Amino acid sequence: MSNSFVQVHPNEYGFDFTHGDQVIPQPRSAELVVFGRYFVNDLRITRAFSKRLDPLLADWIDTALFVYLADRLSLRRRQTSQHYALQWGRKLYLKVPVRRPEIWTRLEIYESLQRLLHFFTEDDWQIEFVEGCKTQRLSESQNSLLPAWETSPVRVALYSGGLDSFAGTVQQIAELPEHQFVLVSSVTNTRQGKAQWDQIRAINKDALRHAIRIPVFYGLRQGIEREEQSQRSRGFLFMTLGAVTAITAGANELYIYENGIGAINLPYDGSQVGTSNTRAANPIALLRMSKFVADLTGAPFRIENPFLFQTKAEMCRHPELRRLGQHTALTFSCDGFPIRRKDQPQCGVCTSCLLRRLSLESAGLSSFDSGYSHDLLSAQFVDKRKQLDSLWVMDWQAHRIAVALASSNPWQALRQEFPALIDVVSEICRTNGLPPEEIRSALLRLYSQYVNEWNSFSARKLLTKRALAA
Amino acid sequence: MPDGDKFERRLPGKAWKQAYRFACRNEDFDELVRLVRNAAEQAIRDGLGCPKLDQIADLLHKMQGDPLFASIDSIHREYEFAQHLDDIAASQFSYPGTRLAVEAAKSVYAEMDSRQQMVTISQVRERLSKKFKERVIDNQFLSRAREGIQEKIGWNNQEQVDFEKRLIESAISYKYTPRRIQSQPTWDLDHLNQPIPLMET
Repeated sequence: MSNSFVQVHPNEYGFDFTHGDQVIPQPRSAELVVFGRYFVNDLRITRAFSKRLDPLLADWIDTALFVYLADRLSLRRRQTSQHYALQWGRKLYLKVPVRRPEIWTRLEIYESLQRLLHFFTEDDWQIEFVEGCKTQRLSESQNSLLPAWETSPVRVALYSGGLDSFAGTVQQIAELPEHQFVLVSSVTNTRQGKAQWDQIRAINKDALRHAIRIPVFYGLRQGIEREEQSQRSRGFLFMTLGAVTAITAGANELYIYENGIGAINLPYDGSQVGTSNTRAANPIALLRMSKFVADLTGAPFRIENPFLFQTKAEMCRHPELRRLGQHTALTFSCDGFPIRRKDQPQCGVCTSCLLRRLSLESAGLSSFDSGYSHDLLSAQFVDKRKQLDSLWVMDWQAHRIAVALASSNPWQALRQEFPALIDVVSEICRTNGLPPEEIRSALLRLYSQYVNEWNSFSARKLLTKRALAA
Repeated sequence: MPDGDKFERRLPGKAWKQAYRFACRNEDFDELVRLVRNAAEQAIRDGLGCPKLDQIADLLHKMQGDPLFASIDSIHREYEFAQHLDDIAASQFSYPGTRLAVEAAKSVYAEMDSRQQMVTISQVRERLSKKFKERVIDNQFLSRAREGIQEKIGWNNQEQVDFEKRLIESAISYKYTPRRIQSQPTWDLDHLNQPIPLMET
């Protein structure tokens, strides 16, 4: 008997980046009608350290930017469509000009990059590297008039402007008085850039330190009609900009400050598969990116998240953060930031807003928590069903975690319910040579802590109210 | 369109929508099982099938019994397992159901690992096949409609968990038997010794 399986072909797109700063879709991108001009301003990186950008690092930034643009311009299939359900992946063909083709076409580099991008996006990336880039960017050619950078030790960290990056930076600055902090921010709009800058100024003022801020503006010069919202390759671009900055500053480490729950980002329910949830700060992404950097540059490199085993509320409970608590109001967590409403830049109902609210409440910092379009914790909040979707699905996830943790063998039950944890533990232990028991117990503690915090979250009463109404 | 139908609109295809409307009525459980089973089979036929399910089952079985895997520690074994599954998923890009099969395989692995019992290849295949169907039902139906069902019936999370467990177990172990087979007598010795009706006349 022959088994016949229906194939669901993925969307295919092609982009040729060999024409100056223009994005040229190739013929196979029948659906795409966008022509745009892109930019990336990496001059701030080189100026900060009085250096020129190494050609290999310039290639790397270009490649990461092109990957991001292709990702953003290529629509995925709609998940609700019956025949294409789950066909989330795309085939992407890129023609990328590089200064050092002999390195980029090396099999181990190419495969490592392809595998890494697949982990971030679940797409099939076919990249043709060709010799090109006749004109240099300013960062490659311009000499700085400032004295050479000799500061040591230096700690380079990504700075998104979210609550986690603020809390992490505040803690680390307090705990590492000898270090010079360099905070790298990827910026796509001025409101985001201004919010990041306001936060860093506040940290510098109150902590009496001078953390250097490096904003890197990038994107397309004109708006586009239709774009893919998921943009899972952003993690690759952010880490690229951070790692290039670290290498230019003479460091071999990059830090990312993200709470463990958000970093691992377990699916809320069974409709989320693979990269339905971002892997931008996933510990596996950090390990694989570290390996890719080391392979590419030929020197050891490490990307580290010191808060992997802490909840967001625990990050917020640090005494130094409590001291600077008023500045948490400058940070943003919303998936849709900035919402175009006066003094209400965050929606208040997405999962990121809810995790933020839960954490600030749990840390006793609710008095600095405001600026939501829909304030679930206000007495005036009117329950409209759609606005409670995220609260409901988070409650469901917390319940599943709690049931697993209450079983006779919590670890087995937890990884059976969330198989992604099998990969997290095996990859961390294998790469870092750590005993699995240590990681397992740290994860069990993390999720147990999270469930406790969730169960005390005051917004949950809205679910009880609704159930009673039903 | 009324807001109350938003859960139904999330469902891909008529069969799941019908199952959802039926589930919200909370009446005939057996009929709901039949609807869910049919919808899952249709989804698998229509693009969620995984041609490599047997290959994944073989890999799972090897993880347990193969001396090559048995000789390495659990972390390296799990790492190798994940790499193999990634490769299978990458080679099956046009069969999106493979993504669910890979998740099902990891879940089955965790289950087998916790029991620490040797299982046969046919047991692994059966378990994986059931887990895969379970993932299809969860992904296509329950996770999209759960909130609506809970809201309409008024169940709390634990009651919903219990309902889903029962529904999934019934739907994946349901064996379809055609009517003509159901009515056939058992061919035991007593029966065979009976005179043939045609000859009697």
